[in-house]
Amino acid sequence: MTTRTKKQGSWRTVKREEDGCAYRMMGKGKILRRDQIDTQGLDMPNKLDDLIHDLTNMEEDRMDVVLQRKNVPSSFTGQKMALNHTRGLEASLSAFSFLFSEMIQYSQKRVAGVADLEKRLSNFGYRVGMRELELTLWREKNAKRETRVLGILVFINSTLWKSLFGKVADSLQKSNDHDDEYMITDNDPIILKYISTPKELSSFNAGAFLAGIVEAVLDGCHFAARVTAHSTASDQFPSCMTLLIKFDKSVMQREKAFEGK
Amino acid sequence: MQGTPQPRATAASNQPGARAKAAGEDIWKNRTDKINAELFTLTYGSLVAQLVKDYEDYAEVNTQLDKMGYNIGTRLIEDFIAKSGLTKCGSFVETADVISKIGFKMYLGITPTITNISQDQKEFSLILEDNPLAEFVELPEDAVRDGLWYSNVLCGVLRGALEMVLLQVECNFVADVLRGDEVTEIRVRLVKVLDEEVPAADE
Amino acid sequence: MPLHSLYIINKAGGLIYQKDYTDGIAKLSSNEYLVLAGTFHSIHVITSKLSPIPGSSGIEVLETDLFKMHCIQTPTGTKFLLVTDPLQANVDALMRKVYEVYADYVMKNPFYTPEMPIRAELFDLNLNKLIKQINA
Repeated sequence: MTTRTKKQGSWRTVKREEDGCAYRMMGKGKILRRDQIDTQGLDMPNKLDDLIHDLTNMEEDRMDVVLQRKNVPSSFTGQKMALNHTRGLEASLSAFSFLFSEMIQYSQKRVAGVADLEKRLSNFGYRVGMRELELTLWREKNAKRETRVLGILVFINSTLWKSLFGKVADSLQKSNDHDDEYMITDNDPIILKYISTPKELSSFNAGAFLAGIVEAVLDGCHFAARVTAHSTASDQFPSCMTLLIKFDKSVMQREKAFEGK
Repeated sequence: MQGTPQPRATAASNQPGARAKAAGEDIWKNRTDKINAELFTLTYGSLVAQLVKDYEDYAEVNTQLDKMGYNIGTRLIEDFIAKSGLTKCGSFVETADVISKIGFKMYLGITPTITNISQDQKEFSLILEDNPLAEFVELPEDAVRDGLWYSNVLCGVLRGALEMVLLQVECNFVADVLRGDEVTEIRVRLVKVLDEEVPAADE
Repeated sequence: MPLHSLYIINKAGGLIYQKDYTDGIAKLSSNEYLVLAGTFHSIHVITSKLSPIPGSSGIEVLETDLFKMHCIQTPTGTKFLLVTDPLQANVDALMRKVYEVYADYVMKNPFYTPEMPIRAELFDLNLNKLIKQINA
């Protein structure tokens, strides 16, 4: 829900469609529609790179105006605009847990089976991931666009996890059996702290929500993948969860092309 | 074991208010596990977006948010009592104080202001200066036009939680800055005090 | 100073959790446990009405030579029963901790339906941890 309404004047927002990579910037007369973006071949990453670059510059210009209180239209004063004002703020884990629990129960009523339930949770997470990616990238001082698989995985393992949970994930591993599979493990995912999955639903893992977040981040950085959550509980870590990331063929091909150089 | 509200002739004295405030702050600082606030806000936003998708009708979304809030409230009350150690309140006004200074503080880190207490002391308003659920949010025009109360889950939570301690209330938003109003205001009205369930053996 | 058993009873008098923590306690059938809980629930109501002072709570402590039974009823009507050694101290603090574990691992569990029997792995785990600490 990051669409600004017209009355906000020269505000602009990026609205990312969930099913594609179209960007639309409103205000300042600049509008880029889906058909204006070349979605074929490797040109796309560059164009989007430019877009993000432009956005960042415009955002920085705006922030200059705001922070220095220069030429600020009266409708802006008193409004909380800085995206950084909530950075580092904390909310109650209990409140989150109750909300998350209710979201799971809501989804349970509308699905036929475990796979569906996980998909619904993943969808919840996807929306969160899209926005979390934008926030995280915007705040990273030296954000460079990741082009290699390992690069993006390290970004998720460290930067993203730190941004979300204040700690890095516990391990990042490559699968022995499959070239296109990687695993990120969190020994004690805070969002799963109070959830006890009954034995009848043993294949379900509420970490599907996290899987959705990671999938959105990967998609947003052009590493299409399927991400699923699996319980790897042990006596020491009863809530331990592993995300299995399976990259798309296109990603692996691109990766091979890089290696070939 | 009911909290029977006794309408007081005078407003609650400052002493209990200050105590409640200190208690709320203490619990929030020392006894509340925390999570990234943005994750919380984005998760709630994701829920509302999903409801809008599922129902397509903003009035229905309001109803669903209220229902979900009610379910949360019936469970949250146990957590609230366990962590705060409180028992019954002496009056509905005291209940308002506890809700604002301890309840909201513990779960949302904010302390809404209590205003517009009715003559019979059965109604009050909560004014939220900050709303962590609504950070970064702007409503599309049709949502404003069709009457979406973005944070309606809060009304359900209050209703559910209070019902578990035998206070039947009506709770609804009357204003929201997301809709262009001056303030964000929730109105709470005591309908009746519920009787303890009579055990089956007595029939 | 051991803690022997824990019973949790819902608003309607139904038993939703029962666990023994020391060895040698007689095992009843699940039906007998249910009757036990229901009977206690009724006694709890009766005692609150028997009291000459209006607004009294129901029975809170039952003392015998061999054990002490403590009961707290939360404002929401849920009852926690602890059967302890007669000399066990600080039961109130312990009750409070048990209630917190209940609030965390039962109430926040999406797979738990309120008022139904509790079947939550993390609840058992954390409760065991807590009781082990006490019984040590």
